[in-house]
Amino acid sequence: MSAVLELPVPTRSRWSQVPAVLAAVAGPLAWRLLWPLAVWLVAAGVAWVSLAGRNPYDGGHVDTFGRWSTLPSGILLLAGFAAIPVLWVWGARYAAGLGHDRGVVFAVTTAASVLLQAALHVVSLAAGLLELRALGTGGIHVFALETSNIMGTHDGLWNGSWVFALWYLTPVILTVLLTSVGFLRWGPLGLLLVLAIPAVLIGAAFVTVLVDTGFTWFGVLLYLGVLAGSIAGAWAMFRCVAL
Amino acid sequence: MVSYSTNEPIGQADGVELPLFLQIARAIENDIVDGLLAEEDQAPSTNEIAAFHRINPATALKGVNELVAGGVLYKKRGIGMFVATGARDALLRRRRTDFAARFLAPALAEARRLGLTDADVIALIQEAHHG
Amino acid sequence: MADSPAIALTGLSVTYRSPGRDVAALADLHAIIPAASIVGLVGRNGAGKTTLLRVLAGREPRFTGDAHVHRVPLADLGRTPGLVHLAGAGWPGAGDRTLASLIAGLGRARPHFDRTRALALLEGFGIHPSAHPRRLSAGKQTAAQASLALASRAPLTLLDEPQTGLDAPSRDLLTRAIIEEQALRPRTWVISTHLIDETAPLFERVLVLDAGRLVTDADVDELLTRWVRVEADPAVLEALPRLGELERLGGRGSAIVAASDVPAGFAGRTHPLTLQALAGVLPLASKE
Repeated sequence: MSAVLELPVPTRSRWSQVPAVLAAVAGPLAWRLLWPLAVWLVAAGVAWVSLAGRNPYDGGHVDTFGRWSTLPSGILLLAGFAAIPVLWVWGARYAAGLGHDRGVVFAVTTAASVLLQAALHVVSLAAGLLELRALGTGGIHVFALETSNIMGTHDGLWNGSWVFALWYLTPVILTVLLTSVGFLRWGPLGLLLVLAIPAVLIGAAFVTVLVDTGFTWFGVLLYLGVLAGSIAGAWAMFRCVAL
Repeated sequence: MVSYSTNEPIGQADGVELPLFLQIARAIENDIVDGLLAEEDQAPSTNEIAAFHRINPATALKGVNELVAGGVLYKKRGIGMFVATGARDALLRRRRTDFAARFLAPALAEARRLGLTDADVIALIQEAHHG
Repeated sequence: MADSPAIALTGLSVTYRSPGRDVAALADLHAIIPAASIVGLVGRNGAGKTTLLRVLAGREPRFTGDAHVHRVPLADLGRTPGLVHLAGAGWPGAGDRTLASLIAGLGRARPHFDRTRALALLEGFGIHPSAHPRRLSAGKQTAAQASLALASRAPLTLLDEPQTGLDAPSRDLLTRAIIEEQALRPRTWVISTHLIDETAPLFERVLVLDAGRLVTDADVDELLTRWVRVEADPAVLEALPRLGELERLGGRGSAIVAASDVPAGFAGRTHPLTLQALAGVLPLASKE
């Protein structure tokens, strides 16, 4: 008796949704991905001004030939981590609420969380190198990387910072990611802490083990195992999130 | 039926609420009987009926189909619904036959309740007619 | 596709667990809704209407039982984006977006979304696309959500109390827009509402929920001929099986009774019921 339904059931390959999901997760003008850079530039400006005024600033030191501040790179790192909950709590929920496939939203947001750190690190690295090239070892350096001090020489910039980022930061990224998704799943701050504490402990233990084992097979397998386990756990939570 | 518009179809008949689609059918029949819709005229489309009365288009369609089944309307493919020749006469005949059941029976039942005899009722009819 | 039922529910249940007690928001729902029909969803506050709509839209993934929309299991809704649209649940995480941005996002997510229609409808309600949904008044938010739902052209469109806060002319505008959409491009609608009598002319079927249970799933016309209100001497009415209370005023009693239970030669008066009046007492029928 009812009229003929003319609308066909829409079908579309899941992965063709990726650009639209990315646009939804990143926000208008991709601000959710770019805001750490804004914070970083502000910190660089502040560091520059304080070094120029010769005031000892947290993280800054005076070399024989120049003044260095690693504060901005540290701030960029922290902002990068803070960007993860923002991506999940606002970006991923919005994308899923629009009707995109949850698996695609999860994959895109996870990739964004991890790759954002890598991208920010590349930008920081590039800025540091450009600054070095432009100023030599004299002048005010605001884009220096903390890791260059840990790993010794400036030539070790490439090796040092990559190892740092990929190996040691991953557990932190995973921890923040898991707590973000846990918050989406269960809400209240209490649950957030419950997830964060064991995650941080595991992450810390993990990092300690790796510092000792370095690039051994055991270390690499452990690393991959934790990576896989975390992502599986995060997906198990994300697919049950109510929007 | 309550709607924001005042284009409400006829509600009750015989003391029982007619289903909406039958109300629609009756409204179109009224147009034919009243001469507003002549034979071979095009009847309003179901979408027009639905929009006018603020009802579900499927309900409007059901009402129109009722009239098609009753031979009051017929369908010209690709154009729309038209009033069948002889529809008005057929409706008048049908309603005259139903007149007693639809209008007289309730009136007589009410008369009975009020204790009026048939003679009283006839006298009242004559009064109403001449008054 | 038109022959697959728009909604097929088998044993659908949603239970929220909290320490000490479990709350069954939906309990063992079975229903089949035919395609291209307009269905009313009524029930008291907290009966589970919003929960049901959220489940159907894929927003609430924690349920047991089976649920399919046009033979697509709810878990796979993401693979057919734009199949279901829910209005009234808001857009999580959309605080930083204007309506125009939301429309763009919806257009990318839902293949049938008609941007022109969305803008035209918003204009009809006096809403500018540069507005931020959160900063609109309650009525305008409702109108905006409804406009987006109509424009989404989703084969299953769910409207959760779409008249909330709307003034009467706006409600009329909404009704006309729904009818227009249905006339041009039929789809299946499930509309939950408290303004039952005002919205009833749209409904072909009605679902009545009571405390998470589906107490009625029926054709509206059939329902309104099945039950009647009878008025007579209370002593006479006492004997008849009825829904709800036997109300008295002076020497007259009034009750809602199944038409088939009215005895032949009944001396009292019989009146038709409105859907609103009937929906209020139907939950009592299943409690016997």
